Amino acid sequence: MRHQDLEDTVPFYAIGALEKIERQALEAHLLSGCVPCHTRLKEYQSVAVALPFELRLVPPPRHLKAKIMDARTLPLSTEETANPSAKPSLEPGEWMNHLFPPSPTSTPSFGWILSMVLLVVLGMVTFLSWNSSPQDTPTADRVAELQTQAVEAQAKLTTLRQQLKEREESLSLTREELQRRITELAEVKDQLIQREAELDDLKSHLPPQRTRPTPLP
Amino acid sequence: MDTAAQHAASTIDPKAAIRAGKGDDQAFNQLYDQSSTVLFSLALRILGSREEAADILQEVYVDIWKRAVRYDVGRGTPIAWLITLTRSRAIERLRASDPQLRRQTTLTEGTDHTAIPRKFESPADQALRTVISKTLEDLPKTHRQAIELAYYEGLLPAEIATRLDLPLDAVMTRLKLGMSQLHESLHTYWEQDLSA
Repeated sequence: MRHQDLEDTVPFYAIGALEKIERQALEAHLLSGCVPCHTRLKEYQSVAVALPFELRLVPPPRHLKAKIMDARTLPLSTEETANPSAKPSLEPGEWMNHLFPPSPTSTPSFGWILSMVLLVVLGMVTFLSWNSSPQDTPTADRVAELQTQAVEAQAKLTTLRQQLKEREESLSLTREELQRRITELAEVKDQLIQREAELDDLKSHLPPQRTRPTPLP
Repeated sequence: MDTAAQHAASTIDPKAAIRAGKGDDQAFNQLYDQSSTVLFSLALRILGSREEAADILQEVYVDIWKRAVRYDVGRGTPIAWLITLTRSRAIERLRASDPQLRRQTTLTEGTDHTAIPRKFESPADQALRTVISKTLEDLPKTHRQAIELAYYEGLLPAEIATRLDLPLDAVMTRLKLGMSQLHESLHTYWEQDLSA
């Protein structure tokens, strides 16, 4: 598509009335650094977001603010991992998002940890039930043998606990690493947005080109 | 409405929006007070249900607090960012809803909600409302309908053509002319506002 064709689609893009193929073409064009189209988009986006001011204003329910304040204290992971698809398909600045690969999802497997714990519990129960079974004539050898087995079981339990601890530490490190990378990606994205804003500022200082202010909204 | 809520949604301080996303409780409260009525009205217009609209608002504000979404000056004014965020989430929920329900929502929209008297609006928001309302009123009916179906129902031109029983080209023309007229009116208003 020619520049003019793409520029003509900007008002439709701003109001969300562009077919997927045209939308992608315009986004690619914007990413290529077309300043006129980007300026035009900002102007028309300002128009689009002014539309709700025409609506009859209805206040939100009185309890909503308190509900939101309470919801802020809920753990982050509970809500965000519960419904990852809740993210809208087109948020502000979203047209840059395909620059970034999908964030790695943290799905640590606790299955084997659970298996280990169950194995240990089962071993202990078996050992205890066997140990507590009636022994009418316990000999010294038998007692010694049982004591040895108890020590061995204890040692195994200790080993398993150690393995569990190591595994938990490993998972914790992995989580931290993932979180760090997600933060880095967010920072890179912010930097790109900042560059975008700087580009706009630079453009506004170009004398021959008339820029249009977009103070609201 | 309390005093803070009387401040204009259209003049939210960008610094306050940034602080709200960084855990500043006072800034977050201010952001809510200044923006919640416009955002709720928008979500209600799209979804037609107070409960659904309240859900959307809760999702948006909690995501801001938890930094799942972040305001940046490169994204326009705070209210522009909030409106875009709220609209896209409400439209997504509308698309995911039952088509029959969607139709009912459209038919019953705006019938039983208690509106805020205009005297409680801030002067800045009132001025913007006057400009946008006047421009929309001046548009031919089908131009306005096409814009509203696109913006508040998330319909594509082909879907609007079906809904309005018009050729696709006619819908494209109406959308383009309508947006162009709105752009012109608002641009003039903003230039006057800046010069004043």
